[in-house]
Amino acid sequence: MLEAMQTPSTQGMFRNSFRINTSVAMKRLSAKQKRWQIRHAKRSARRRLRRRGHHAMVRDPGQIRLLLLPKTLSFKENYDETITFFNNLHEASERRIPLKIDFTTLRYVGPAAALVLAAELDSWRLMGRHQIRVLDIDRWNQDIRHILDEMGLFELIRVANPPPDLNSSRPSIRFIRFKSSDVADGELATDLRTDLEVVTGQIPGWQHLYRGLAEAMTNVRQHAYSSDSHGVSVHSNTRKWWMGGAYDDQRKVLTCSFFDRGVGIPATLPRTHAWERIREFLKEWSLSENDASLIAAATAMGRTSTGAEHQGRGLADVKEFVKRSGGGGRLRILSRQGQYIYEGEGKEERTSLLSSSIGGTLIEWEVTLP
Amino acid sequence: MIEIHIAKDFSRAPAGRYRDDGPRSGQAFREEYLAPALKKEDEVVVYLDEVEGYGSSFLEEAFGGLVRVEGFTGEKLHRLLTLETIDGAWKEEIWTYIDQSSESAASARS
Repeated sequence: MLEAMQTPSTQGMFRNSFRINTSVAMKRLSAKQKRWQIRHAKRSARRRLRRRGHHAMVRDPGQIRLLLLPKTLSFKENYDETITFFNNLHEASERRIPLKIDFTTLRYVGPAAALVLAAELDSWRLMGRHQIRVLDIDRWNQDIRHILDEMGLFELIRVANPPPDLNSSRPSIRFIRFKSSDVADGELATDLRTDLEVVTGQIPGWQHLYRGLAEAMTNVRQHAYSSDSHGVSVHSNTRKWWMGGAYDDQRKVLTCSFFDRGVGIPATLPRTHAWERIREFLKEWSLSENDASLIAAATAMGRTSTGAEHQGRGLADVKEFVKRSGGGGRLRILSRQGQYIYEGEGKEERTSLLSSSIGGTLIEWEVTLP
Repeated sequence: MIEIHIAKDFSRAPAGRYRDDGPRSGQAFREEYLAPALKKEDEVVVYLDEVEGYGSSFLEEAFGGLVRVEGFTGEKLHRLLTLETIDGAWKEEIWTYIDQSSESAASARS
């Protein structure tokens, strides 16, 4: 189990926990300003809660909240519980709420869900200025502990007391360390490849995955945290992206995931002539205008925030790695409430609407290596 | 003749369109390497290989920007610029960006 705490006075309430000390920067505010901020935060939170339909959050005395991790944290295998957990964590980040998070029930975490977990915890730490501590690590599932350590979670979120490496457990899925930045830095993609190739050997078609990653980074920089995105605001004060990778030894499946907490692809599509092109696309393919079909449209024709044609290709690049993988791959994009799946040329592209927004954009490449 | 090896002279991991996007962007490559070389009216050979890869934003801004931003004509670029790579797709993509920018510039003038 792992949980989060706020102040020394509340530490005795929790055993088995992540401890978080907050020092919210309100010292210089007047009493009137503080009251206004609190009222504003409560109003915003109520609106977000109504929008997201939160229901699995437990309020603790002293404003510390308990979040319950599902047994299976995976977008593929347990979407509803997974997204409910992330929405609650996302909301806690935005409101800078101290948390305790119970990890002891967690038995399986998928690569993409692990990345989003890291991103949300990282944002929560940064936005709330929380200091995180791990308690009762011995009660965690050993595979989960090993996986999170292998991914570099404790390092990424700067846990004050990182647990010692656990060498006894070696699941068949090998994870590599998360990378994160707020700029398009190709060197980090190089680092990702280097780490992956330790477990996979040389990755065929890497330059196509690099192309997708480079464009994903660029899109985050140019669009994801834009304030002019059809009225959809970004509550985050971080503008980061996160990426990670995993390799399943038995199935020979390489997974690479990229996540940002921005407003989502459907919200960042332009209002200018590209919108007209997108509507033409939707009409041509008999698709209605919703989050899922807008992702499909964006990957088919790219996008622009200026209407300039020269900026219109970026998102199409994310398909290249799967397109050239010889039929053994899958690209999945989750953005707002839309899901888009692409499995290569000649295969039907699938779109669907999800029960709840992912709170950003997740791109996942999954390719079987020879 | 001026030779530019992107991997050796600029970066093995180019990414991003504008300077504000990241440290090794298409705009930076165009402004620091490509445009100054071409402005000498000399033949310029750009070696594209030995990099991690290219995003379309980088290539478009670096090469399409020669027309759109730096004011070169497509005809002049076809005369002065040579692209060397074992990946024919990159070469084709770059010339597409240059030609599209040239067409857009011509349309804007007419």
